[in-house]
Amino acid sequence: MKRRSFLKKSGLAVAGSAAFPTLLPSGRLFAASGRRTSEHVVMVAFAGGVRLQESYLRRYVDDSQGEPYPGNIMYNMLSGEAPIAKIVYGTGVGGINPIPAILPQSIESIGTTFAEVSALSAGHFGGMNSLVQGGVPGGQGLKQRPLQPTIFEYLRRHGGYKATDTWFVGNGINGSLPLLNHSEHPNYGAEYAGNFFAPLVTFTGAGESAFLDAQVYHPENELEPLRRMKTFLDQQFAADGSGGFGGGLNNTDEEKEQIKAFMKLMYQKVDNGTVNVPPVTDNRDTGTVGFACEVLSEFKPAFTMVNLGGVDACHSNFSSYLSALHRADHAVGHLWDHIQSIPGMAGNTTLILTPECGRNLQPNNILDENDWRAYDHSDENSMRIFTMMAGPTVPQGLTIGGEDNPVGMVTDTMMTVCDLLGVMPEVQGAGYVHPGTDSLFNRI
Amino acid sequence: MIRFFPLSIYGVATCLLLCATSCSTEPEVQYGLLPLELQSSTADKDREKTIDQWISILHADLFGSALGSAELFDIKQAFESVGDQEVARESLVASFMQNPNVQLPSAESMLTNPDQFVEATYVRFLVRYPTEAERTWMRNYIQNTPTVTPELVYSSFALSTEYLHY
Repeated sequence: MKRRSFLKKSGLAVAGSAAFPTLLPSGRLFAASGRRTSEHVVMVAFAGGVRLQESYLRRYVDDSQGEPYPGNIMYNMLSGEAPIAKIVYGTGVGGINPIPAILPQSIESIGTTFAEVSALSAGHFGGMNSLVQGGVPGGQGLKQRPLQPTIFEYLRRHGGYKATDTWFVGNGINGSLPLLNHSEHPNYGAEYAGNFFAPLVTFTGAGESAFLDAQVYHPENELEPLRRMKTFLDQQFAADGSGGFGGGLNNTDEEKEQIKAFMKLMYQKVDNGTVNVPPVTDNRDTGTVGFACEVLSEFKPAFTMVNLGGVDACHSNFSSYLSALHRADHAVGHLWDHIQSIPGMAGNTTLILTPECGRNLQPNNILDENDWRAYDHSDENSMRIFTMMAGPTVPQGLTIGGEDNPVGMVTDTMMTVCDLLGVMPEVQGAGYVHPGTDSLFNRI
Repeated sequence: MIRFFPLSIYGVATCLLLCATSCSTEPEVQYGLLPLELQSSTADKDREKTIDQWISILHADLFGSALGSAELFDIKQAFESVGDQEVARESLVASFMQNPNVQLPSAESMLTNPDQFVEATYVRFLVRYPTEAERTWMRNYIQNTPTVTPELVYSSFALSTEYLHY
């Protein structure tokens, strides 16, 4: 090829690539500018309001009830000996039998722990929004979608992740939880939302009676003509049908059919008792994590957020709080263990977990069956939380900060996810997160 | 001695007025529904149904009966537990179709008189008559696609964007 011809053709090619950039599956034009360092991220909202004293500080009833028995009741996540007496958090009558550990090594020993992190809200709603938006929900009411973009929308819009690459598995439908999978922000919104299930409602509650009998249609013989007729009807109707309750999340037809087939499979597994639940499943958190494991196995999402909340029993029953905390740890152990059994996720998944808020320093006046006082969440101690992470790029056995030496904020958790999945520059550039929010890797 | 009190002209007028207005029979009032002319236009459907309306109307259209408030509450909860509302709607319609009480015409009647079937389906779900173009397209599609059933036609109407509006 002559030099002039080569220059002409290569110049046209360069101009063409600039004028017609690659169109990614999500509809965005350019690849994310950040470097993706983890194939999968599972973020656990270790939520419900967890006191630092009974969790990271491992003080059991020593720093809450005036009983001299410290100890670790979260031994899948934390290292350290269990309490030697006053055992109420296990199984059996009075909870006297602790649940055996699932993991051979604690998350703390194989990952990095931020011993004390600052929350931005002392409440569940504010805390959950901090975790999904990276900010505080100023001006946002209950029963309202987030005003600023969520982690799901950032990932899908800037990272090109498809809808079934991002999942939110909630432990219920209260507290506006189902509204957190996307915002009302005009530049983001439903077309970039994460998929959501509250599996205990979808698969074992009201959803079972509503959806159980749904037939999965044959793709060519039934689904194709149904869609063809629907398309014709929609073409005749000029109005924009994307809004309202009936709107979708921009799942492709194939993704929707995969979700429906997954739902069918879940109803069968519920019927057969074969959902991959933790060995001890006797509350909502453990049940929710069982279905989260099923979501991970089926979709192998790039990002999954799992929400727990059983520890909120602490408002009125401290013993139940300890029991729920022990089970939340059991559930996390099962989740991490299950991830290591999924081809494609084992060895290249990062786990990150953070409570959305803590609980008070002083108890309220409610006594439980052990004459222990309950705790609400509204004071400065409620702003003390912790964050743990583990995965292929996470330093092992590292602890950052300590008691009364907080490092990092609750909003760092979502930015760390953005960092791991390669969209942090775009999220920081968008400018909607809380000032000072950073990836936890930058705080190590 | 009997004494008479003189009546003024105003008193007489008042008495006459009372006699004229009292004890009159009430006019006969009848309540009912006036027939409404169905349109073939979609232009005036510019409002979206709420989730309650869509579920309730769907149930009425498929079963010919109203949905109980407890059932409606449960179905709403089920919808809230699924992020993609299109998936939820498709699943509910597909689930309703398996209910033995669903009022579906037979495939034979659909194929015997497709024009009548198409018109009745438009009226049932979209509360309007089809245009000639719509009638023709639907009739041809039904006649030329062997796997089409009344269930699939009803499902496509129930899941259409127009059915989300009123």
